[in-house]
Amino acid sequence: MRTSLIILTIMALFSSPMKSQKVIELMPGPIDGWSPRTEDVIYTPETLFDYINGGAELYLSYDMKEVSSRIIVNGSNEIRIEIFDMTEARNAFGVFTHTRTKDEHVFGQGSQKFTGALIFWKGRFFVTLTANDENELINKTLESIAKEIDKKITETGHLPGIVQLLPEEQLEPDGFIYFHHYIWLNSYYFIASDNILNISPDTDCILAKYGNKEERSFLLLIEYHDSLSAAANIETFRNVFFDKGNINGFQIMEDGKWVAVSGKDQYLIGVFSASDKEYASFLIAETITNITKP
Amino acid sequence: MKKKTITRRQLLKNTALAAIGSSLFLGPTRKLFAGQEGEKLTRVILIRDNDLLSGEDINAVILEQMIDRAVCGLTGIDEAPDAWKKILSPSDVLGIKTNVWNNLRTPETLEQILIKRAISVGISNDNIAVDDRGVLNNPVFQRSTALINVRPMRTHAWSGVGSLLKNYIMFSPKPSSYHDDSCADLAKLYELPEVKGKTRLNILVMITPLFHGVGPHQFNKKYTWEYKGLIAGFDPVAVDSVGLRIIQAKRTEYFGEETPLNPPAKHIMLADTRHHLGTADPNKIELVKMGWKEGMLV
Repeated sequence: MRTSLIILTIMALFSSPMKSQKVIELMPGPIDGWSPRTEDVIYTPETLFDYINGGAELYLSYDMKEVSSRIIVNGSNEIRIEIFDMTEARNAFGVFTHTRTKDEHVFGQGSQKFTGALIFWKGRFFVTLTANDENELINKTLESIAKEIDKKITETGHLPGIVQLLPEEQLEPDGFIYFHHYIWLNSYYFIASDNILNISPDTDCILAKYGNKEERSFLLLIEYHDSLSAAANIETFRNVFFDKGNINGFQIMEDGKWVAVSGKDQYLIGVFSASDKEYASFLIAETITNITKP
Repeated sequence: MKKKTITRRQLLKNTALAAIGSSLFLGPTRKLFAGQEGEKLTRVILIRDNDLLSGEDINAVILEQMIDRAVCGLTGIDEAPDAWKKILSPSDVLGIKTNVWNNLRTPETLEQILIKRAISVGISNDNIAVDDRGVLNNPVFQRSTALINVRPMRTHAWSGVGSLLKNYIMFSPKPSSYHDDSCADLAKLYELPEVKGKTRLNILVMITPLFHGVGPHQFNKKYTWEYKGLIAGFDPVAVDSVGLRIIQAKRTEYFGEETPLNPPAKHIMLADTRHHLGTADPNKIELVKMGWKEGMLV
């Protein structure tokens, strides 16, 4: 994983955009056999609720700036094209990790095809193509549109550095979510109902899955502004999850699973649901090794 | 009101929150705590029929039978006409709060059945309305004395699930004011004058529920399944709680491991523990199961 991240980072360094692109400029041109059912519409954070009933907050929590939308039709087939400007590449990447289950790396800097849908991210843009059905024509058109938009987006973005700190051994492929809004703390595993670890737009967070479905552990890595903040939140972590008086970094829970916490510099490293203390310790040690690598 | 944080550790310990939280957040198969003997239970009816669907079409006759049986089960009255009279009276002005989300709306067939039953009780046609986004401007809703809350359950990108509790958000002139903390305090909607004390029946439509959302509009038919059920009750929190357990169970079954809703649907638990609107605790719910049993998941 690290090799591909380095390649992407190098690509980003050599491809700074000459001017800031607008979502409307990235919409595809006419497609044979398809006609627009709607004009292109731009939605902003103020109007997104009117557009996405029930889904707006996900994009707002990743600092969405605007989204352009168009619906095209061909007979009974319908495709909705949406290009989100997520302000920064890390947000586009974060929204992508929120949805993807397997990065197929076909379009942009990461993509996945679902039944009747295709998503990808590139630079600060997150693109979703959603069809009302799945058939050969739709599949072909989804790929053609994705290719065109991918080509039009001239910028690429840096992956958040925190991604490179995840231990690779036993990490589920693409089994992590990147975020900086506390609501997504429970993405894979219920940890807490509130923002107990003071996650904010200034913190970078990753929650990752390790092991297999039968024996699943979770690693939570949070990068705070400084080591003092990290230390304060590690203390909170202990207070919440550890028995009173337990001052070492490990605690067995009532379900027989282990929870662990440690810190290094500005990082909090938490482990949940480890089958034994040794595995929790291994995940923490590996993460610290990655943090301290030059 | 002081907020109480709920953590996984608390849910695993024997606290007052544990039974509700473990059921709603930690997966449906875990039963960590016994029910409290002697406590009055809240009745919820779960009814299913394997013949309800023919392709995408709903068999109206079967649906009608299902809703009648559910109302009989709820009221404890054998005959459906009498059971409906226990819920509605001829002098009522009835608002049926539906949900028109285009991907998975409340079936119009069900709306028509509810209208028919209201008329059979003796309510004038002029005093019945079905509405969703226009409830605040609907003259019937404005003078309503009774409400029926009816909607399908689906996953929701911010509140965990679209629930009965969430269905009343259109009674707020500013729905987004209830979005804080992933819609934690939706139960407050029940304090609005347009709503307070009026709800006579809650029906959660579980015919083809959505158990997982992908993309901005959350909907993909791949993540619905033919559950062919209805959940009915007088307590919206209890009905939502049962629906949520089914959704969670389906997710675990589909993904092969505990896959919590993201974010968790904490508004249902908080409707109980913070707002005391009803009960979300499965140990305090008398779940009456009727009809088709295969794949019931709860």
